[in-house]
Amino acid sequence: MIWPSVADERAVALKKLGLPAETSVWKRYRLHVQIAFFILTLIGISAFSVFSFVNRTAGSLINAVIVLVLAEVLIAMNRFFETGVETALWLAGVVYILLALPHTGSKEGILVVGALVAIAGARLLNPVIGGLAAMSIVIYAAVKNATPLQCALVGIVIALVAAAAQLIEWQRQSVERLFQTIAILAPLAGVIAAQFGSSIDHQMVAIVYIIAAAIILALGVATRARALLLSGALNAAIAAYEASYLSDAPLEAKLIVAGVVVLAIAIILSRTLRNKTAGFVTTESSLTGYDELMQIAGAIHTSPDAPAEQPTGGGFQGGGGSFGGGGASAGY
Amino acid sequence: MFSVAREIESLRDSGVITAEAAAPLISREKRDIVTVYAELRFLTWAAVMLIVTGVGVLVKNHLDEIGPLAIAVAIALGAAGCYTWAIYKRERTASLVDDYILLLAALLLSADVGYIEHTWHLLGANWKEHLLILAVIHGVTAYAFGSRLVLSVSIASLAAYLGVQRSLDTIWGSSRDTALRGFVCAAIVMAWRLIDAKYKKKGTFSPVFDHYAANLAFWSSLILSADSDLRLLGCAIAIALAAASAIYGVKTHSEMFVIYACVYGVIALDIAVVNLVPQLAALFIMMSSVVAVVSLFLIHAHMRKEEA
Repeated sequence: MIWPSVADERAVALKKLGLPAETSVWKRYRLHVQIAFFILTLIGISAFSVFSFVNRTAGSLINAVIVLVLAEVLIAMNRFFETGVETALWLAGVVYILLALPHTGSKEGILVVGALVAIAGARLLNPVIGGLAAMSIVIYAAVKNATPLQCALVGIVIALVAAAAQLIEWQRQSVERLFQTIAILAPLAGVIAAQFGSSIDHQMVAIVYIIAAAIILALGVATRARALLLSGALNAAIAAYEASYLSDAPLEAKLIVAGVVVLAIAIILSRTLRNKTAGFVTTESSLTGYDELMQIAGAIHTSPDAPAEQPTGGGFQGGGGSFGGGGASAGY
Repeated sequence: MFSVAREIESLRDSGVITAEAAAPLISREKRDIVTVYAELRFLTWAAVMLIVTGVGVLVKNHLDEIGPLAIAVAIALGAAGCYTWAIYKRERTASLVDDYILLLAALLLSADVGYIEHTWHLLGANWKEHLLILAVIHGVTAYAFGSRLVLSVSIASLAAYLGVQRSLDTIWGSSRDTALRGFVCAAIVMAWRLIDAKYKKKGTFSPVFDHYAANLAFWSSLILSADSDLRLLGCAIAIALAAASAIYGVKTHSEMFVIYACVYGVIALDIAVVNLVPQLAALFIMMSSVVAVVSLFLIHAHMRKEEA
């Protein structure tokens, strides 16, 4: 066994629903535990990096071999999968290989990076790594001097293909998640790549994104796939962002109007779905691990900035608004 | 799409689970019922952030044209409108959007009070106390509405009052003072938590306080370790906190506190050893992370076994 079988993945999905299923031999952890293992492993690997500084090519190759062999040993002997440790080791292996390779400055190097990341993603059946690998195509288009519209189109086409893949019944959850991740990341990669190009046609970019949003949202509603709803909403947000360039209204007006519109959509959806018992509903989900992560994210996000020093002299000095300190840092 | 509906149906047919238990699970797997609760919450949060950011830019860019009084009144009216909505909805069926409207109200109030104080210096030399006033107002609001989000704003205001910053400059800047303020803030949050747990039996906010206090204390100790004179003291405090966090995590079956212990503990230990024996730094960093990974594995396995 080089990785979990289809039956194993399906058994894990059943267990998550609290149903009896064959116990997996593979070690898997919840996301926040994986992140902790990932960070700790990276700290450990950082000590290795001294070899790469001594001799970039040979040292990096030695490092790559060490971390990849260790990852494979942990996967094969200890059945590590989705623990965070093997992910950190494999990603470090990819970085070391890239450091060892000769740097010719060729634009095709982006595709080499993408291919190596894709290998890591496929080996670990990791949708996030696989999704990042797919983004290398968009980056490649950008460095090959594609126009901003072409970059956006590449991202959108990839997202549409990934969205259409939701129509297929997949045996592995990891494959479904890979396509969901790509459907979410690709539009973002497309618009970011487009921003680096010269003479961006905001109107055209907005039009293609709104069309993509309509298609993906329609697919999301038809298949009731939450990830596609998120991807569709993201495409719509990007379209709105691009369309905002066409208006002469000040930034603050755009932000407030956008916020009010989004709030109105949320209120309308919330009211419409409130009493529904089938289809899309708003029943509170009970993912305790997710809740805990949200709490931590909230704690980190709302950690305050210190208030700016109060000016002693009279008169107001404009510049630099800030809403830290629970929104009251007075840093205007 | 991925679905285990077939497996659930076979479990039902073989009598392993009842038809009543299987029905909702099959509906979920076949996507006859799909909850968009998390997505709507995220959408509302995004809306609140857009509005608050927009108000911030409005204040910054248009002060001269609109005038300070008009700005202060407009933001106050916005905040009042949101509070009115929240009070009105409190008596009726709760919607998942309501909590974020209350958050918007709190953030607008904070912005307005901060702006008023900055412009008219109502508190004079005691200007920082507007943050304490806000912390109290948001604290009372959080309890009145049972809102964790507003409680977070209250704690953030309290931390700002004590001068705790969130920036990289903090770590490399005046670390001694900042660390001390961070410890004081963590202690106040812990005291608040104890009072909350004692008097608020239903729907306690303890988890929010726990995470805030832990992160504040750990960061303060690491900030202290950036001071060359007090580096070892900072590391020692972080290691002691890590031990306490691990014990608390195991006792309360909270994985996050064990994770805090391992991650912050290893960082503190590595800083201390790099400082004391720089020749062994690389070896020690590698070994310490291996030990931390193995420890975390063992503790996690132990906790899972106990839960089972």
